[in-house]
Amino acid sequence: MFRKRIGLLAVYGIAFFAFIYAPIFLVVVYSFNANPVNMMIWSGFTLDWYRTIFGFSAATTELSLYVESTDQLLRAVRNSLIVALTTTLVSTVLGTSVALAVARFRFRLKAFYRALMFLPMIMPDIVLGIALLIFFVSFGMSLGLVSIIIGHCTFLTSYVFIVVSARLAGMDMSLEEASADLGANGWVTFRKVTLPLILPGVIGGALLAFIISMDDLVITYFISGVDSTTLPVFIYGMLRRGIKPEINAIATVMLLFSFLVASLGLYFRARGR
Amino acid sequence: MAPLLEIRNATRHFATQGGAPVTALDGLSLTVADNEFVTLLGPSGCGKTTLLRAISGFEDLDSGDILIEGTSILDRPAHARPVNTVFQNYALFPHMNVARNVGYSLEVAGVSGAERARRVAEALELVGLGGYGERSVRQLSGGQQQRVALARAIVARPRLLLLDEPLSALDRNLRQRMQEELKQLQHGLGISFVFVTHDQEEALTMSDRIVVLDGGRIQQLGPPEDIYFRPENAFVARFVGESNLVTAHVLSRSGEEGLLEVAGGARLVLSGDRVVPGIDATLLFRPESVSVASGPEAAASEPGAAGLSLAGRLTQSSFTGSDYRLEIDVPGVGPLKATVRHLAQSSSGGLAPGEPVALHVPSAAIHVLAGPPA
Repeated sequence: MFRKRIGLLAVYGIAFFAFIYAPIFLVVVYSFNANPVNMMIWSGFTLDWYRTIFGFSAATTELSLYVESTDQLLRAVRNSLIVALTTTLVSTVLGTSVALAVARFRFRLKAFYRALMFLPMIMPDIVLGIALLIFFVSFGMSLGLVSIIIGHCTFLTSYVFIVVSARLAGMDMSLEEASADLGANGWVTFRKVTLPLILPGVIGGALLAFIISMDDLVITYFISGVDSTTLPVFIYGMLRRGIKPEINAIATVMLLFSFLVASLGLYFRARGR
Repeated sequence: MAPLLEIRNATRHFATQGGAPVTALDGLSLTVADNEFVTLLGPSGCGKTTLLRAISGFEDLDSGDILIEGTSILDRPAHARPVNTVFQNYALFPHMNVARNVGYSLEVAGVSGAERARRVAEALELVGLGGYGERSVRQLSGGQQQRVALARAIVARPRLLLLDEPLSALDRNLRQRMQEELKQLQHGLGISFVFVTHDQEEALTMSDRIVVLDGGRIQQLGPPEDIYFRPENAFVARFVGESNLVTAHVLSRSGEEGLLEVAGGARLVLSGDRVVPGIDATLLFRPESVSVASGPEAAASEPGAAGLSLAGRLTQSSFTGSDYRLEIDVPGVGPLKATVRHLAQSSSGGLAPGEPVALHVPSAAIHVLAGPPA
């Protein structure tokens, strides 16, 4: 009886994970499918699509010549990296500072400030995108990388704030008092005690901000200019003209990249314990 | 010469949710001399931790002053004050090993590596943890963490060490051993200790002087013997040790001696300034000063003995190993506590609850408190 139940549970478990991962698995498989017309039909292993997106295209047939140009793709990747790195830096510093202030000081309307920091997380992306667009236009700001970075910072600061706050909540405040008692001023205490102890949270928040920034489509779509297309916006543009095999290769590379970033995060978290 | 630490009229109120502010410190003044072990003793909320945190710089005063060697330190932030603290929960830095924890104050002060290593090793040796430097603080037992916290606080040789209930998390045996070691360490180093505790036994064992606090005010300040045998008031008497408090009316006084009558009619003669004719005095005697005899006639049989003789009925008897603790109900006076030895031999017939007994307390063991029992 018991055994049978476990058997059912195992089947359920497998089905559950299949449901989640099968589509992703298919994308990876299709990225190696040589069939340029119909990716559902396997016609042999190829690395052509990867060669194409990296600009070493050997076999550029009329049909596979879908990525308008590798230059455009690479420019989108570069834009995405610039945006994500800058946003990560700015929102990590801001989010960590706010988290420290909220955790350490008493001030009026603290609960209100905390709520304000949570709000951008539940705000629909589309609303945020439209709001930012109107904001930038009404201030006469041209849309470009700067507007995207500002836009991303507005909501990613919240993500960093929440991750760092969670870490701070688990930190014993008397450690900072002990440091002060032993002669360390505020800055030395932050550098030698507070920051090392919350570092796993700070790195976690930064990686989260980086991944979300790299990945964001909806908000970026509204506030990116002509020359500031990021990778997700670029891919979205490609998709509107049909799903082509290069998409699978780009998706697979992005997937790999995300795994790497996440592994880095896990590594730092493990070291922080 | 100015005293090492002087607290003048320290006052501190805390706002509460209800609106009525709580007084943590109420015009408290205190001095601590060089090489002195002073204990702040009192129940939770008496102001002892607030006072300690005000000295270390983590709490502000509403008014009053704190001086070290004659210089006010109130305008200095915590990190610039020449005192170190052993925290109740030790507050060891979990991301540093034992040696870095202990050497933290030297590291911050810019003491060079070799000198630092030497002094860290010395401090660890002093607290009995020689060779533990490379360990992670997470691997240490509670007692060892306590010692690391102590080493960290004394490594820079402050003149004044503040200890905030540092032994409260240790088990009984370890606590007793640490009490002795702390006392020895304080003597050996010549550092003054201000030690906060709510444990009266701890306070009596270690201190040169005890400050009994309640309601943000000093209830009594003095050496342990004074606190125990000659408490100022009913609060101190009740808080330190077990006590019997009996109200007696002073009938008359001749010369040094006064005649008192306790409720129920028993009379006794006591001397002292507090025996003023016409007032109700509060008498204190400790349970161990009470001698107990079986039968009501025993009291009457020795009328010559100076002191208080009472007759009552045994209501409770419990054996604690070395003693018997008795509770005796005396008509008109109420329940009294007595601790007696060798009861088993003296009463092979057995002292059973309900039996009439006679009590005697010698005059020398009776202390007159200032004011009525609170």
